[in-house]
Amino acid sequence: MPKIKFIEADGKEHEVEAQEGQSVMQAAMDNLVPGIVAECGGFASCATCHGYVDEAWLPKVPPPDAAEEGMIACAYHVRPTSRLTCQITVTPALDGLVVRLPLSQTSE
Amino acid sequence: MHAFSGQKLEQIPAHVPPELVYDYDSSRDPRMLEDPHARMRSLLLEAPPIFFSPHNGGHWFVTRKQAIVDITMNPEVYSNSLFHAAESPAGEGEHAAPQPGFLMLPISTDPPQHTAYRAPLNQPLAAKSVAALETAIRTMTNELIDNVLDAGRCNFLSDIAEPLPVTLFMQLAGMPTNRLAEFRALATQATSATVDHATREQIFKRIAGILTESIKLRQEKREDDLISRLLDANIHGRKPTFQEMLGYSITLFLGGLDTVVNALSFGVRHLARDQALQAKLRADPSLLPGAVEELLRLYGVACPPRRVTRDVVLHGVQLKQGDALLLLLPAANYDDAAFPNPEQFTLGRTEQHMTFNAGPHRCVGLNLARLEMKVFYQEWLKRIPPFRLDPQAPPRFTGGFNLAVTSLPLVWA
Repeated sequence: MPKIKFIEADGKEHEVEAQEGQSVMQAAMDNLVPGIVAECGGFASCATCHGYVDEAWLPKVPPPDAAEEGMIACAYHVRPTSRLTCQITVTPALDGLVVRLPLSQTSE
Repeated sequence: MHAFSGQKLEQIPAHVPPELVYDYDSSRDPRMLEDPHARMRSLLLEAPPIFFSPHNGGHWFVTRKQAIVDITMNPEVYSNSLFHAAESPAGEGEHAAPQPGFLMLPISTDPPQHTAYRAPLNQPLAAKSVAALETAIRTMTNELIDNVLDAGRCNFLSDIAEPLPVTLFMQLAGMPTNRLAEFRALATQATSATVDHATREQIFKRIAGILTESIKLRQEKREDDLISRLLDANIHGRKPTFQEMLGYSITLFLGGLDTVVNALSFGVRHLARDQALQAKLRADPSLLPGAVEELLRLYGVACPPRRVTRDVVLHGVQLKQGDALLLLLPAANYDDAAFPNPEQFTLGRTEQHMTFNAGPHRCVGLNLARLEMKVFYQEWLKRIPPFRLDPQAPPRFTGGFNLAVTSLPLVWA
């Protein structure tokens, strides 16, 4: 099973085993990783599963579609590497993926 | 006869086992009219988790959180496209439509079509976007408080709860706010389950007429509002048609007008009956966002319908293609499996409540609703002395597709 490493804003790391075909958001939720809210449950309509894909991994992750890009604009603490983790599907190619989490999913 | 027709089925369908039949009329049940959320709790305790009631055309009710989440996350089987034109001359209830073939957008569609229709609404209603409205909400709340403060009493529903969200929403959407009373009356009738079919059709024609005017004005000249933004939205590489604009506007009209009104009213009723909680929140307003969330859990409003697209077994219950379901979101919030001591107001619950539903159709306006409620409670608790229910005039309620308050007289010293 592909492994994904989530790193909270304070540096705390969570390495989880993800299932192929599920979303990166779901892998975080299944493993109770703090810092991801996932209000809408995975339909790119809320921007509360926001994370930063580690730069080294960017070339391996398919780019966001227009709907996701629109919603990333609604997230807080946005950076060039921002993604909605519900829109990234776990594949064997993503084994070892590193996702950093923002300070918060809200304005607080 | 079809589900949500308003009439009682004479014969229970053959595939429904007798032990799953429970007599509950979502519009007229006497215990629901007495206290809607106490009735939701009793359904959890007394009725099967998924039950069939012969009222209102005969349909299923689902009361448990996990079953509702499973349904909403599986739109291929549990569709929002309630009736095909051939089966029903016009839509009903939440999805009622002014003319055949007309769709409320995006709520009457299923993914992947829904995804394209929903996208243009997500951004303007995101937390970041609606934050800009905070000052306007505060000003409006204080104006409404000014009107009632010295009197020492008010009918919370008509004096505060109705004007606040309705005015705000109409401004946001780009609808004329000077026709507020008329719009509010239409919205109330449109979602009432006791209005007959012909009347409902007339109401929707009038609503469609008003919205048509608003859309045409914005077609000529764009403003900074939701209708203007939707006119320029990109749906599968094209702009919305006029019919689609009407479909969006009707959803926004009903969604924005009837839900927050009731969530606020039920929440204030709770506070009116709990002086200790009022004092606690006055002393420490930083508790308010958590309190709003817990009041939202205790007092869910909307009960959205679904239609079964093929024979399927749901948590052990055999459903047939064409069956209709009503998701009792306000009941799911009293599900012990998700919310221990569900009748108790408890700050700091971590389990997500169901008032905004789950899945792709989760409430698009939830950020606006939360903001309105937070700002309202901040100002109300700051300025209004300890308040109680008027002992001479108890609150009144109604049911249907929404659990709703029809009167809420309050008094304060």
